[in-house]
Amino acid sequence: MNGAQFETADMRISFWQRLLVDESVSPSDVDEELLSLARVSSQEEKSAYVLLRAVVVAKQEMTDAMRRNLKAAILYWFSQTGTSEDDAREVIVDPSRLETIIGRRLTWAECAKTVGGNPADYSAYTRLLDRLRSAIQAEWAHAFGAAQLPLEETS
Amino acid sequence: MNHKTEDWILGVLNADVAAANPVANSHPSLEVLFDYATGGLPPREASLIKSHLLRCPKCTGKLASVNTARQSLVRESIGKAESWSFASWYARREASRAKKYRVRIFSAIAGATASIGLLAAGLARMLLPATSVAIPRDATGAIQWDVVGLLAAGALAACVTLLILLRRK
Repeated sequence: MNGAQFETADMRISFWQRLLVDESVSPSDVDEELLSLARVSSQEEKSAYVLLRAVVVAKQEMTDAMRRNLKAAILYWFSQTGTSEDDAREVIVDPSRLETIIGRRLTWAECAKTVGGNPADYSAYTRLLDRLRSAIQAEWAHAFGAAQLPLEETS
Repeated sequence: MNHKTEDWILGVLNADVAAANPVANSHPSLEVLFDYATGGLPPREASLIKSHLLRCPKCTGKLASVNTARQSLVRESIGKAESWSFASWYARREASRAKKYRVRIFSAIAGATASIGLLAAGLARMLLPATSVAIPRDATGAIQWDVVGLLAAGALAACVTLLILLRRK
């Protein structure tokens, strides 16, 4: 990991944090900070940029219920990242702070309940993934061309 | 299809979390915790350590120990500084003054003894010429310089003694 990667990853995490607390983030904010760097970076960096921008763009067109599900999804995703520390669950989780979520391995039901959604409605997550999938494809094509689309079916 | 999307998203975010927060997944060393406790880390690194501490009771406990040890060190160093600046300096000063005082007392006693002895010898020679301690006399009645000398020496010794006793420092 070099310094530039650290900087851009850190910037992206701060955007995710803003999305988690419903702060206004526009696609142009993301482009301004990250697009020029993503264009000259690795496939992983490009993917990270595209995912963030796709979520930001998709969020603009979402209903309140969908936005709540997106918030639950962000909690869920970040809880699945990093390594789970021993006794981690004994520490209080603050759903408005990503750093307390990372590595907690929360379930979708726990995340949905945290944001006031229906914990039994797993289909909400499925619908959200469908919506994001198309947004990711569109954003990738928009930023880097259609030659190397991620998430394409290989079979 | 959704599994693939989810896996892709998790893979991307995992890489970001690992890249942005390398400390989050590993315990910082005691040296790093000490630097954090003393404010010796750059702001970004300090923020990463803080994030780690929020979710790691083990390191939070270590930090508490580091803080306790640090406070002991601070107290000890303050104590040393205080002993140098006050107690040690005062003790040295008092020892020096006591030494000077002892020299003065010894000089005064010696001077007083000498002056009393000389004056007594002079007076005895003058007032009791026939005593056994008398110095051999001049039969013609000439000035007895030995008596004058003893009295003068006694007076001089008394003056020196007075000067020593009256000196302030």
